Amino acid sequence: MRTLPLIEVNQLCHDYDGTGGGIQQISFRIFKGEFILVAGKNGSGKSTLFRHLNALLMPTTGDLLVHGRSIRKDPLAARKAVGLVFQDADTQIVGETVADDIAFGPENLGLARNKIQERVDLALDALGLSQLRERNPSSLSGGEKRRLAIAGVVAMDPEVIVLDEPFSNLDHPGTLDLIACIEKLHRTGHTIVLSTHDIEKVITLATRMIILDRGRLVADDLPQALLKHLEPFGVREPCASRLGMAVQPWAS
Amino acid sequence: MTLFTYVPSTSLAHGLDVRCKLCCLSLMSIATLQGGPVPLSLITAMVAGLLIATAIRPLTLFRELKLFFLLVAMVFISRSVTTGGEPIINLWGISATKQGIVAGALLSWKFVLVMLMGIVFTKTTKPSHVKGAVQWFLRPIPFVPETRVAVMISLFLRFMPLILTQASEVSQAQQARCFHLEKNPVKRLLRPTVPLLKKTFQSADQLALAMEARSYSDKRTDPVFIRSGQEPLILALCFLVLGLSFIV
Ligand SMILES: Nc1ncnc2c1ncn2[C@@H]1O[C@H](COP(=O)(O)OP(=O)(O)OP(=O)(O)O)[C@@H](O)[C@H]1O
Ligand SMILES: [Mg+2]
Repeated sequence: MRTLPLIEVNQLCHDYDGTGGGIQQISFRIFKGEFILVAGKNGSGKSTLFRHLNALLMPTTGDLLVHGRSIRKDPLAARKAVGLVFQDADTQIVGETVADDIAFGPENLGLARNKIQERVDLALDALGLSQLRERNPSSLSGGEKRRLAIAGVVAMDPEVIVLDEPFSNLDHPGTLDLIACIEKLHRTGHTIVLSTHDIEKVITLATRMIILDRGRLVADDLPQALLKHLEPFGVREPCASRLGMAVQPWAS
Repeated sequence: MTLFTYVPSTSLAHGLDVRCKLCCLSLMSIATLQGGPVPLSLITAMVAGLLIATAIRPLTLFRELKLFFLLVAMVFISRSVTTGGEPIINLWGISATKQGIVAGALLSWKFVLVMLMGIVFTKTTKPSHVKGAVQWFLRPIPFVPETRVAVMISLFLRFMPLILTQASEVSQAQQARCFHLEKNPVKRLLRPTVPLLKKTFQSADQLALAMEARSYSDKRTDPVFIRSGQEPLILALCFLVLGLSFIV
């Protein structure tokens, strides 16, 4: 019924130092338009998995295909199709102003100047940063920095946006702003993959949920179906669900 | 530091092409360092005009440059007492000569002028444009990877404030545990540096990853330069002043 998967993960293993840490035997497929929530406790392998999605790490064994092409053969294609936003916003912002930082990725792709300008404007607008375009990133708030990090990836026009723990260190308004932005990106046709250990914030947006535990994929289903099976894997069940109610969306 | 940061505006100096500005800055610095009082007065008038156009308050200028002026004062004093000639002031057996005072004043004047030119430049130029200009000037030089140098400059500009913030955080965290009571000077120096270096290396590691994730490569889009059209005129003026400084 469905078309070709965007990303296909086949028996993916990554062993950092030969001790069996990292991730093991992970297989799943990502289709266009999905919003996948990846949950799991600290050290369960979420970041390791994400770094494979845009070819920053190469599998020890197994393979990962983006548009049917292996990342081993064509890492650049994976990097263009999949944009990765890291956990720590501070270390991924490289420009001296907000607009410069967003232009960094498109400049790397060698786009023409007016094309870059266009992309920067679109990304600024999509993440609600237009007012801050000439600001120095070090003077931004935590939430603004996080949105800038995402804007830098959005400007590269990837099909899939992968967000690693986007809500860590954010206050409540910052979290709400971010959720609204992510929802908008999903609505405008981006496929979203997002990791968090506090699933309550985005579970109503997600179309699918994957649980990792000690480097293995232990569940892959609709979020509602997994709600009652979270706690053995160190993921907190949303309060509402525990009380037997439906989880309400966080977006304001 | 508000003095060395770019402030957006539409003044003459703001509109000039950065490459032209950098050329003018070097020409005028040479003229300043080797010129006599006449060209110096001319340059002073020009710099003063530009400073007024950037709207820096003189008081802020003095406050931010306190240490610099102290240095200049020291240069002036040492010049006036070490130059031989006809003594005019005599204090505790040390005498300042007339020739020394004149030479010291001239040297201090030059120092202050060069400093002010630097301020006008940084105030009116975006760091990213400086980076572009450096890349442009390095292009004809073989074996210099100009795009890499440009990215290094921008990373330096970007991460200096971050490292300073981290340094102050580390030192505050250690003070909270009474580190300021430590008497051993070696320990006092080393203790804060270890966590700071560790943090810096970790950030550098993550930064490298993040840059790779955004497809960092040497074949990047070239920087753009915006011209105001007054560049030839300004450049000619600078050459004129430079020539004058050799003649007068
Ligand atoms: N550079 C590394 N070298 C060796 N082992 C590593 C390295 N990075 C991660 N690991 C190990 O791989 C496993 C998975 O780590 P990963 O960072 O992917 O987990 P995570 O789910 O992202 O955790 P968190 O929620 O803390 O971000 C952990 O057991 C960790 O110790
Ligand atoms: Mg992680």
